[in-house]
Amino acid sequence: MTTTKDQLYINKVINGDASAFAYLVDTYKNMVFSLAYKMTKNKEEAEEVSQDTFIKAFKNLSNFKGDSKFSTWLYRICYHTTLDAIKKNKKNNYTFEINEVTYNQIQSVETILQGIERKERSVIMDKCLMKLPDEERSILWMFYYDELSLKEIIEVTNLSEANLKVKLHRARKKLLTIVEKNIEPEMIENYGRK
Amino acid sequence: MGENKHIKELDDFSKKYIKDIDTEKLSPEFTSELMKKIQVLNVYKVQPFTPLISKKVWFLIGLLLVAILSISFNSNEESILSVPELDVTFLNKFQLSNLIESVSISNTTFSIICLFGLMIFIQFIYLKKYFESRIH
Repeated sequence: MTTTKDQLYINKVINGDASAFAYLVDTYKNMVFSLAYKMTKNKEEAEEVSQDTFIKAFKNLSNFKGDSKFSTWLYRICYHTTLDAIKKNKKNNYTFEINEVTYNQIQSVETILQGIERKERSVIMDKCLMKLPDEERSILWMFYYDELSLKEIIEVTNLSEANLKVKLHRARKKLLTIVEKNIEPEMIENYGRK
Repeated sequence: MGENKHIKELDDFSKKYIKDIDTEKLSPEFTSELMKKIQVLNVYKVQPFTPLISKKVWFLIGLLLVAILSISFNSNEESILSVPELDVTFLNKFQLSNLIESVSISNTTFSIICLFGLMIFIQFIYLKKYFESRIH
């Protein structure tokens, strides 16, 4: 459910105090921007989409029923606004062969990643995440970074539970495969040729 | 069991390393820039558009036009707008007495004027809706 403080400011805005909307913007702007950025892969576009998201939210605030979290409602607007923006720009779709993941594979990748400095590791992971298809990338981001529940992601994306679980699992496997390819030189150095 | 272990391992891997990613930062003026746009939207919301001529009046005008048109089509007289005889002898001073008596508009001309007025009336409604949608 929406927090009491959020609801207080929502009511103020609905009653005509537009400046109260600044509280909601400040509270959720980073969350909105991070999702928009992960989907668009471009900072300027993500800022524009974030602005559009908040403007749509402002215009439709009286339609917010309060039966879900305000953040989830906002995410939904952001997700669909970003999808529309992405469709216009027609970004490339990446295709990957997904093989079954092995325990050793996960362990090897993790061992290498642990040996890399945190900042560099963050950059590598970010680059790898950006190589995933838009939908899978956004699902992983919402689930792991923004820590939305499956139920909330279903509400945001309109996917069925079964479909979402399949996409989530596929996305994790793809991510591991991409990370493995990216850190392959280090793996070869550490373990010798495969 | 093996399959579940892999799912758990993948889940742990994703959770650990995705959470670790540093995110891009928004520009510092984001909120202020956005609030400027919100205030503009709010001004429009607070001052709703009030028409010069209300819908009721437009409806009455429309009825009047329809009434006049139907009368003109049904009328057998040559002209429906011949001015009734008035005592205009006071106009002799200005030598205009013949002017009013001579005013007469044929049915056809009058119908055309009414139809023209009706077309402008209809176009006005469409133009109004068009400009309102542009503002929104």
